[in-house]
Amino acid sequence: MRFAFYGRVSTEDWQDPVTSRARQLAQATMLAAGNGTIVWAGDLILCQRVLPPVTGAGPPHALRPPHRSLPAGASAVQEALVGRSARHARVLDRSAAVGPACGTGRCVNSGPMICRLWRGWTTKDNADAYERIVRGQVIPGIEARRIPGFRSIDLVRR
Amino acid sequence: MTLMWFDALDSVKAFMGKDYEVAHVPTEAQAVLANFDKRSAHYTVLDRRDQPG
Repeated sequence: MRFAFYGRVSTEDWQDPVTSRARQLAQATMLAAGNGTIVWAGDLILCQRVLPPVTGAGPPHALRPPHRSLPAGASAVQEALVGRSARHARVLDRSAAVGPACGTGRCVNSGPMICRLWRGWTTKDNADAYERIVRGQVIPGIEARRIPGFRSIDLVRR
Repeated sequence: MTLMWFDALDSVKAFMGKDYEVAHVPTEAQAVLANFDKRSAHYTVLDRRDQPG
């Protein structure tokens, strides 16, 4: 008997594209074990995550994502990103470039090479207060450091 | 969510130091956050295609 199953496993806690996709694939692999074969696991590859080198003893740092462990066998370094569903956020602020232009000769389309992504969650009651702090203090504080190679920062709100 | 754009990882290290994934979240910001990434994720930009119009 043949059957097809289309599944997506995700929760609010699993929205990091790397860990989310790896988890979904691991869950699907467990479900399919002994019963069938995964013939397609789609995703849209846009960029590749950069992880620090593995150092010291204990769990490999490179395989320890911000939130939790990746399933055994998953390679975060090789993991391509971006899930099936797009998420949208309003751009609150887009700062001007504050560092010198790229001089490495390695920049893609003359743009910056590394994107540092960070997420924070707040309550609706605190959202505006948080926005004021980020735009009024945190980002200006970073900009004031004039970090070489820091090109711009986008602040977005989902 | 913030997206910071750097020329290279060395620029990120100039920002945060050797353990560059550590999140930069000042105390006053933590006070109004319910949760936040303790470590930032870094991605290599593979392509950037500006659109006309």
